[in-house]
Amino acid sequence: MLWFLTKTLRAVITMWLVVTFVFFVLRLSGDPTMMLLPDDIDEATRDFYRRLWGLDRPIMVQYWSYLGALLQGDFGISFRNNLDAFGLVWDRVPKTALLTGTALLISLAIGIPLGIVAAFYRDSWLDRGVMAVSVFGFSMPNFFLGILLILVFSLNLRVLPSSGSGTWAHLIMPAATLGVSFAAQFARYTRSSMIDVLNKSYMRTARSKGAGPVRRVNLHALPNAAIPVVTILGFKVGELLGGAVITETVFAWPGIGRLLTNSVAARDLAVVQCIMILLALTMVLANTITDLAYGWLDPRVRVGAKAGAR
Amino acid sequence: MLKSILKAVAVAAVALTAAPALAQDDNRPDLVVAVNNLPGSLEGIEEMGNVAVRITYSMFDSLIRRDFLADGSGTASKLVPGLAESWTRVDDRTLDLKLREGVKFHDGSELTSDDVVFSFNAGRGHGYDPLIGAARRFMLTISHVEPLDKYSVRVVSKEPDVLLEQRLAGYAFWVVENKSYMLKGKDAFARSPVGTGPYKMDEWVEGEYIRLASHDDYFGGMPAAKTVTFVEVPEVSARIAGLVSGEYDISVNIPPDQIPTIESYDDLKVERIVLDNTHMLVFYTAGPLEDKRVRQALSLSIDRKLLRDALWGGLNYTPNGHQLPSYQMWIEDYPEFEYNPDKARALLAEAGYDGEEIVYKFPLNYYLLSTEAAQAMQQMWKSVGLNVKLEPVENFGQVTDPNGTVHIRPWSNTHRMPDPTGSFVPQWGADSEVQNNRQDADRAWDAPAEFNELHEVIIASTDWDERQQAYRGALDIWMDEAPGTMLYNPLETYAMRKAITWKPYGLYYMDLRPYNLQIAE
Repeated sequence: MLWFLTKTLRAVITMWLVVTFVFFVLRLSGDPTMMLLPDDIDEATRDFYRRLWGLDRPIMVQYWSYLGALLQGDFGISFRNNLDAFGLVWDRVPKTALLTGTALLISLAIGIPLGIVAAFYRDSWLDRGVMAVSVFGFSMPNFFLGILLILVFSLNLRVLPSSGSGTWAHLIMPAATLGVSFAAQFARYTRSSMIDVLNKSYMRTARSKGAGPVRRVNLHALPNAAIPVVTILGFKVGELLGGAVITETVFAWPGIGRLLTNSVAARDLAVVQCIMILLALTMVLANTITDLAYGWLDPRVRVGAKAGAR
Repeated sequence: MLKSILKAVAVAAVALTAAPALAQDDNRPDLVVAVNNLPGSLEGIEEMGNVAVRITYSMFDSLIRRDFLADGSGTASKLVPGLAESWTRVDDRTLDLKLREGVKFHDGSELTSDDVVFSFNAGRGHGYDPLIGAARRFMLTISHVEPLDKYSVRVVSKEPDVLLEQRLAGYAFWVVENKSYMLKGKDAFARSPVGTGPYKMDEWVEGEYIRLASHDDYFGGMPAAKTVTFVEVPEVSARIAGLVSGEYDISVNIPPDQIPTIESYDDLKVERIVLDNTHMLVFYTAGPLEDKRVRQALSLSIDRKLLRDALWGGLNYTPNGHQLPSYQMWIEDYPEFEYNPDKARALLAEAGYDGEEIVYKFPLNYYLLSTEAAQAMQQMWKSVGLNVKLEPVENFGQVTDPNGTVHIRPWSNTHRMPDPTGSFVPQWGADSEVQNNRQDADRAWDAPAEFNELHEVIIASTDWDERQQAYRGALDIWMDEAPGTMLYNPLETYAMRKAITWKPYGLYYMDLRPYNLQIAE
């Protein structure tokens, strides 16, 4: 119970800090009337919109009124299209979830087996090959990879649609773009963590018991090697969402990332804030799940927590 | 009983054969346009930026229409009947217009004078505290509009106005259906507007696309495409790739360096237009630029031809003075912006400029190719001894931040009417932000009294010769005082399939009316 309360309190404070930080940074770094109205508009019109959007009030007044509304569940109205900010953001969630979820699956499905194989055949040509490819995948910026894929599969081969989200075919390139660099990272983490585990004495014991290689990996090595990988996974959720911002723009994928880019550029505060709160919440949630997964994977953590609670 | 069954069977048979026949009748193509961004509102006067007018221009009509294609150029300014079939001047302030009869709105209702009166009423767009603020600057000169009968209206200006007809053919004077507007309310209307134009709202998926459907009862004839879908594709390479792969039929905002790529495909072509918009520099008349000779030197040392050739493939032009050839008052013999580094050096020596740092602050990714132009100009300025420091920032708010240092900033002036009152007067005149900088009074241009007096003549006079003389005088002062300068008019490029016959305009309208859009099978 106490554990839950501390977690919640920490999450609330985190989100308040995020909201406050974003509010002041956005407000002090650009005037929405400059972004949303043409560059040669007159001051009277600018004033009209400043009044309409409440930007003529002192910044602290704006802050408190924003925070007050937020506490009542009112995320505000987008300057850009007069729509409810929360609704706008929420409508985009499924698309981003689909994209990042698929990318994550791709990266795990490729990265973990490659890591295991590399660790098992450590220092062989196979290991070196896998690691070389993974460096390549890791260091390729995803806007570049995205455009490269568009050039090859849309422009030259004409087999995949270049942008949009209408069909499953539309998902392939953005998910691959986003997934590749994470697959490379997971391969490296899995490899090093497996190498650690394979050298442990219990692996020798398992071998001496006569367990075959498949059983040794699945039952003895993997659960132990998984702990560092799961830790990384929690952190990677944030990076994945960050990568979605770029990937979604390149492929015109109508998700949160592209909405965020547009909204920051337009200083559409209500929408940016709503996304930031959602992202913060996702991060808190991801970390909590990681904590729980630890306990499940590693009995020592569970026992330790119980002992500590006592 | 049997009779009724037979009747039902017969009806069903007719329906079955009729349905495919109807569907087969409409074999017009669906057009897909890849755009860089979609607007937030389709309420014609609420959002009037590039991304909005390219869609709304085909949803609404104006009483009088500017025929951009009168000379084939896409920038002509001839006035032709729109929703009004004819008009007569009553006096300096008053214009009577006779509406076409039988014009149908998208919802099937008929256009009457009620709709015109409602569309131009003060409370909507230009009164003391109107519903929408963005159109005030275009509609502010209108006093009121009154119905004369069901198909006639009278438009009255506050002051004598020789440009009333041009105004009615320009920004903001688009006619909306009054009843649906009032029933729905502004915000719902903005998502699903009702006009008389060739295309009506079909489906809007936020952040993905806006699909318009043909308004088959359009008074100007049957539209060429069955539907037109504007798909949001922010990345230029994706807009090009989608065009090549056949996903899109037209892609907008193609940078000049991509033109050869498009033209290398057999089934694709580009349509180019030099916009009725000018990329400018504003010289703040304080600090190192206080002496007008330094400002003149800044302008004299810019090799505009080199910039045009290098950045725009030599496909655009620089106007001669703050005007365009499409102006009724175009002064054809007005001198070009001069490139004369020697004269610039002499002026700087005369002014005693000692190499003091001049800060050119500009927003990244706001104006196409402005960063490249800034870097080139910095070298041109350096070669005459001007010490200009480039400071790129993220947005315009940071450029004009009163706590920062800035001496030069980029700007663009759109010529929204073919007359100085459509650009030069509002952007540089007595009421302009340039002359009334409220963020920092030091940065305001203290224009000579004569300049503003000449502007008064341009605004108030109804004698065209007198107006033109005043215009020339005001241009001379502007060139001499150099509170800013012009670089060039940018080029806008659309890439499309060769089967499409469509011409762009000097403003960002995409006119999809039957006379400007044909699609070969």
